This record gives sequence, structure tokens and C-alpha cells, in this order.
Amino acid sequence: MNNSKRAKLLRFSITFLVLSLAIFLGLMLWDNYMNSAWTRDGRVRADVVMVAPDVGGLVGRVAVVDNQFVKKGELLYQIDEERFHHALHEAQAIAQTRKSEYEMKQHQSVRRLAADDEIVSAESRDDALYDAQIAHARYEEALTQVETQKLNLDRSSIRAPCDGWVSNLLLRKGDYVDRGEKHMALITSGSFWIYGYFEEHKLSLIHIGDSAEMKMLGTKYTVKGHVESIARGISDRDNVTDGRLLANVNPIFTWVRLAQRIPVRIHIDEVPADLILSAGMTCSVSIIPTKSIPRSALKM
Amino acid sequence: MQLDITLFGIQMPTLLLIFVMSAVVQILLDRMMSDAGIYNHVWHPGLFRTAVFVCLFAIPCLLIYR
Repeated sequence: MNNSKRAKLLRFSITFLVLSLAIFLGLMLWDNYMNSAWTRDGRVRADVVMVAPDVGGLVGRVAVVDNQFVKKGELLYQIDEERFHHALHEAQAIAQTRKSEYEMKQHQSVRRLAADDEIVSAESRDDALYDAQIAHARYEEALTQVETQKLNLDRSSIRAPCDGWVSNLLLRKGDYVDRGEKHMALITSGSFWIYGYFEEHKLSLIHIGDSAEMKMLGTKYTVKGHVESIARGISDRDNVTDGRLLANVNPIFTWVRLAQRIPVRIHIDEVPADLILSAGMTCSVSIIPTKSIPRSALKM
Repeated sequence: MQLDITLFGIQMPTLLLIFVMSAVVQILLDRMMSDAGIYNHVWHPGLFRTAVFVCLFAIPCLLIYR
């Protein structure tokens, strides 16, 4: 009788022990998985300059190849410059004419001023003076035109605005480019950063200055960095402004709701030597909390 | 330890792999325990086995998601 009671107690206690362990571990895992600051949704980003010509024309020469690294000021492509040479010559010729005109009017004015009242009327003397002034202004206008044409000629060579890599080069010799039309993407060197898209409830665990570790998808590489900033706004998907500027609120409100993801910008501090970082790569981001700046210190 | 594993270019959480592995371990352990007659000494074998599986799954996962 006593023996069977003890056996019963043993049965209960073994089960209870294992069950409580399982509950404890399960809760701990839940907490670590759901409530720690990490995301599988991280992207490598970079600044891209969309290079557009300041003047339009036929592309005479493309000086770079796809994915080439260029230094600041290096020639990217050349717009056929013949037209700009002609325009410059024309402007110079006009300037020369205006200069001669100005000199003529100047002489006239000086001569008339020197003559006495019986020969030249006061009116015609005034006119000569104003004519000379007008001619001078017109000459200056022509000189500015020359400068503008020189600038146009200069801008017909499209140069790299910064160090970087030419990306997805589709421009070919013979293409016609319009002024201001974007034809070349230049990925700025050293501008790489990482956007980690964190669920909104995890944001309270992230502080500016916290160090971050990025595991690149499918590799052993770990990129190190720190939290630079947290985005202060994303668009509201349930309220897209309509054509008449009224709110367009989605009447479908779901029972199951998903946390919004807020971009957290991570500054890259350390990249493994043999890893080539490309904008658009995927990574997992884990934030290692170091309570550097208290949240209350930031303006909310 | 990696938070993600990659199989044929598909990225998936390591939890999935651990789940499959702990299921295999659970099957083996289950067989061993029933042979040893341990289930005679537990109150509710079904509950006990579920709890054992949760432990098997949670311990390696906790090593990854510290």
C-alpha cells in the first residue's frame, strides 16, 4: 500500500518536473526570439548619384565600362562637342562686334562732348553718351554669352561627381541624351550603410549608438557596425490620399495584424577584407544593447 | 552560430533545422525510453513526451538566440 503510494508520487513528480522545465524553456525561448532586437530583414544600401548631362546632344564617346571604379572628375562620357565649338565661335564673333560698336560709340561720345554748343546740341551730346553706355552693356552681355558657351562646351564632357562605381551602364555611343535626363548611376564609394527593418515593438530595445552585427546571407562573414539613426516615419498603408486629397481609409480591418517594420540605419564600421559589399545584399541584423544614450535624451 | 541557414539559395531560420533534428532525436529517445520502461513510471506519457520534445527543441535554440 505504502509502496504503491510512493510509486504514484514518483510518477507525478517526474512528469511535473519535466513539464515545468519544458514550460520554463519554452517561455525563455519565446522571450529571446520575439523580444530581442534582431531581424532577418536587413539590406545593404548605398548612395547612388544619378548622373545627368547639363547639355543635350549626341553621345560621341563613352569613356567607362560597366562596373568600373572612377575617381572624382574622371570623364564618364562625352557629348559631341562640335555644336558647342560653333556656338562659342559665334558668341566670340558677336562679342567682337559689340566691342567695336562700343568703341565707336565711345569715340563719338567723347568727340561730341569736346565740341562746343554751337556745333552739337545738348540733346545729341546726351544721346551719344547714352548710346555709348548702352553699347557697353551690350558688349558685357556678349561677353557673358561667351562664358556661357565656354561652360556649355566644358559641360559636354560629363565627369564623375564623386569617387564611385559605374553601375548598370546602358549608355552607348550614338545615343541622344537630353539635358537633365538621367543616364548613368554612380554608386558612391564609402557610402554603404545597412537598413535593418525592425518590427515596431522591438524599437524600444534599440538605442542610437548600440553596436550591431550583420550576418551576410549564406556566408560566414560578419559585418560590424553601430546604430546611426532610427527612421521617424513610414507611410500609412491604410490611408492613401485619393485624387481629391481626401483620406482613403481602408475599411478592411483584419483580426490578425502584422507589426509594421521601421527602418533602422546602421553605420558600417568594419567589413571583412575579402567581402565585396554590394548595395541590395541581404543580411540578418542583431543589435547588441549598450545603454549609451538614454532614450529620454532624444527628442521624441 | 548563424541565425539563418541557407539551402540552395533559400534563407530560412535555423529554428527550422533544429526542429527537424530534435524531432529525429525525440523519435530515437522515445524508442529508448519505452524499451527501458520509463513510461511505466510517468503519470501521463503523452504530456511527458511533449514536454521532453519542448526541452529538446528549446535548449539548442536558446544557445543560438541568447
